[in-house]
Amino acid sequence: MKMRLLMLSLLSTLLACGPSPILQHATAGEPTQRVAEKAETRLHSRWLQGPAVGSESVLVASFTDQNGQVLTLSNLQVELWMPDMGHGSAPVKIEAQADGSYLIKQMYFIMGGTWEVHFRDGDRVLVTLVVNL
Amino acid sequence: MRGQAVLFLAFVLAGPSARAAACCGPSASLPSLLTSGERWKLQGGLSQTTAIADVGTNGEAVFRRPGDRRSMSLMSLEVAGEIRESWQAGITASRSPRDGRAGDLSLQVMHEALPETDGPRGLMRAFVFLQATFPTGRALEELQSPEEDPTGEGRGSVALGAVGIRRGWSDDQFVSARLRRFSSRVFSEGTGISSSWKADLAAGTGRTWGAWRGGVSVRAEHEGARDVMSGGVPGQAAENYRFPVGFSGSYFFKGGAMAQLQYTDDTLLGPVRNILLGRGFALVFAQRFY
Ligand SMILES: [Cu+2]
Repeated sequence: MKMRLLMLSLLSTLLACGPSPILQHATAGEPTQRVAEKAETRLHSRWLQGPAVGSESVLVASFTDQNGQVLTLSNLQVELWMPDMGHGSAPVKIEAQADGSYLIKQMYFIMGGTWEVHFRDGDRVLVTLVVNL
Repeated sequence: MRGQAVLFLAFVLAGPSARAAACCGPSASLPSLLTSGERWKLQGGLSQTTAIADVGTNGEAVFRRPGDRRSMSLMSLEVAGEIRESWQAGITASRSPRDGRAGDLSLQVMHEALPETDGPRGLMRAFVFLQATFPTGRALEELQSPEEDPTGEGRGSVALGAVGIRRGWSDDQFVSARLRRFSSRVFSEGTGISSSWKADLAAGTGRTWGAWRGGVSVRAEHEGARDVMSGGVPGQAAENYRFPVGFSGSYFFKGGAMAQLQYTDDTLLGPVRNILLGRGFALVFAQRFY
């Protein structure tokens, strides 16, 4: 009997500890985004699909320098990264377009939260896009 | 009557060997114990967990739209046996039923530190255990396509834990504690994660009616901060915690077999932080051998 009381008090302590997620939560809203910081490279981007949790997102991106010249990148790499949790996602697919832009397919934001999209030319980080889902 | 209680207690801690964890991959569960005088035990499970909500570092749970609730399943197999008086050992393996990819492998050694004692409040006993998990599964960082599920935690770990069990005529309780130390790992050049700590505390109670048992348990999970590196840029992943609640219904067959249905829900108790919240079902079958 004492043991049962102990269990009950343990349970009630846990319940009193913090808000129950099911009773107090938000519902996923519209995604927001911003460019992380002032970078030498300017990003021009448009979502063709998404951004969304759990399904494929597709982005068209192009890059210009300070003078507004379109940059042709020899080795563009795009990586999804979740900084608070320290993980990424599956590799994306990049297709260079005739007009100097890049079609970025198979972007999978596998969970909700704050994501960073790192655009790199080889080892050099060009610009980072922060997406809130 | 007490003999019957003994039979039921065998499965107090039975559970699927792994379920979806902190972030998007399954995590090693507590080792299952031999508590009814059996020489060894074979246990198989199939679990399916659905991601329901995402929690940021501000602690707010954001529930997903129904279409965004990704599910993942895992099959697991566990063998545990008595290696000598008051010592047990076990091995746990898992696999994704979707693409057959192996999960992490766990080895555990359990010692009955406090043999069954007949106290005023029923029979009490306690075990301590050492558990090593090898990252043989596919980590989130190793996914090649979005069709793949992560099947492992990504890093190896060593855990030290203890389980206390009490049983009465038709009820039973347990408490458990486990501290895990994860190793660091470099996934590719410029991408890696540092070593870190993870702790869990759990308590549960159950009641038997004839060949049936119903149980409820609560767990507290906490993972400390980790240093991470992505594309050569260093950062820090914040600590996370959640409180999963489990419900189970079991049926005991004659001859030492058991079938159990479990439901686990991470969305019932708070506070929660920087983590994925899921709900899942698991079906477990076990057979004991004397
Ligand atoms: Cu995450």
